[in-house]
Amino acid sequence: MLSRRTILATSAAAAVATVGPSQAKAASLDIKIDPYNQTAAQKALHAARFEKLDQESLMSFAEGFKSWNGKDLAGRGQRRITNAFLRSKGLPIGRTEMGYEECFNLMLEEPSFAAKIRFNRSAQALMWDRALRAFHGEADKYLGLMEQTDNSGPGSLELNPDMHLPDYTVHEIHAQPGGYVGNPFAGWIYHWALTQAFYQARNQYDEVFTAIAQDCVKPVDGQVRRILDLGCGSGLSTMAYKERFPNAEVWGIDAGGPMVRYGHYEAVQRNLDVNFAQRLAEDTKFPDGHFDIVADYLLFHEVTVPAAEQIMPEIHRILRPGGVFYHDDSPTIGNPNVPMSLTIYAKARAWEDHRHNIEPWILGYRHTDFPELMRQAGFEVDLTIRQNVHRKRAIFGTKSA
Amino acid sequence: MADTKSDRPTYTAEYIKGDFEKAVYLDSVHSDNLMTAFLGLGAEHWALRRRVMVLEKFMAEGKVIDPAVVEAYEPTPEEKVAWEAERDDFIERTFSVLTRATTSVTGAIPTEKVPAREP
Repeated sequence: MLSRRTILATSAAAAVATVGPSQAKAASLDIKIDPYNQTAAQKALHAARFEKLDQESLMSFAEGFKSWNGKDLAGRGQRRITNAFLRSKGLPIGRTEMGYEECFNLMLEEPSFAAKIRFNRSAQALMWDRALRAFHGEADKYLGLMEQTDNSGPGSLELNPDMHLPDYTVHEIHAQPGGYVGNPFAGWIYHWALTQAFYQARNQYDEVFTAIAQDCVKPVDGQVRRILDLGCGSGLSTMAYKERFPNAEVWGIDAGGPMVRYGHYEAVQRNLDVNFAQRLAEDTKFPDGHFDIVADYLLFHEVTVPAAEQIMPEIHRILRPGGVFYHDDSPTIGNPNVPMSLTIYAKARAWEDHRHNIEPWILGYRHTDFPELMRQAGFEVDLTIRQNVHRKRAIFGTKSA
Repeated sequence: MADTKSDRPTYTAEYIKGDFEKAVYLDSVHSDNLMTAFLGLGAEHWALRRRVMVLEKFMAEGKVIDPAVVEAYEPTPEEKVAWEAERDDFIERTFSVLTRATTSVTGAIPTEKVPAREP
């Protein structure tokens, strides 16, 4: 990391500070990047490595352990054991009407499931804790790095520390200490722990986020002048949109101040002209018809159903006629691209995610007919677009021209 | 959590703390704690093992070992694959006992013969 940061710091220092958000350039430019066959330069730009060997090694262990725990206990062994357990109880292996919590409590009676949950939770805590220690251990240094870029470009950063944050945004989502709003290094921790461990070696060079951006369908007229990444988190997908559409004005907004602050810091390191702002998805502050594309990755399962019902019309409002809404999140009813399992085992795992991994709103999201929510806001919904070679679950909506 | 060692602006806000650290999934809180400690030891062991691999590499090349270079060492793509395979093997042989069947041993000692082990 030292060499990468040293090199990139030079280019960042040379960048001219901007006084306001960047503007779109005239011509639409569309750069193809193969997420899984990146050049050495692209890998160097996308890599995130801890500064100390032990930090990287601890995260390497968390990555390997989460992968093993998911594969070996949930895979071939777990299915056989689960089925035998359910048969012994006279319960169905297939779909059930039992409640989520009831399924979870039942499955905890099966020892290997209980061990799996214990390890899942402990591995998650290990991942967050070791990342947290890495950044809090040198708090002044990392705060200083962000201070250096808060007011410099390329791109812009808008922080609104006095903004009212709805309660639904301030939970410790994913059991991440402090959540997205309560830890000054939330963006660092989220990016580095997820990249190193959560995606289990599948995102070491931003492959997931590059694929998301590359898979986005353009408006029919091909014009992509402005893109909004809604609920952008630490900005990885936002930066990937800018890499694909370098002439477009790209925005990322998120409720978490520390998240967008890190996103801006990282964009400056990558010399990417991206605008980040701390704003709510249900109140984006953008003019009517402003964007050609509005995208969200994993936003809607992190918001309440009432908030989702406010966000959807807001997306429709800020898209121009013919503009595209690109949604990529976990399964819901009404989305045939990602069938939702409602077995006892699946419901038990979903309850673990909801209650023990602090996903407060995911069950409401799962049972929202998301395509219908889009239609109610005025979108023409296309569930047949599965052109995305990399990701199969996206839903695209178009605002009528 | 919002507090840091300095008075610099952090742009943080109050948050709702989860209670996930209190959860018990096994037969007692001690079993849960031991599993978590076991996992932590596994992580520390792997960190040490990885450090030894870096040191062994420098020693094999006859280089003077500079702590700063050791800290910054980035494995080659080939080393990365090999090290991850070693890590996965370590995890498998250490933690796979958790996948064993949960039946108890009762009745007479087994009498069924099985083929001899391969070398």
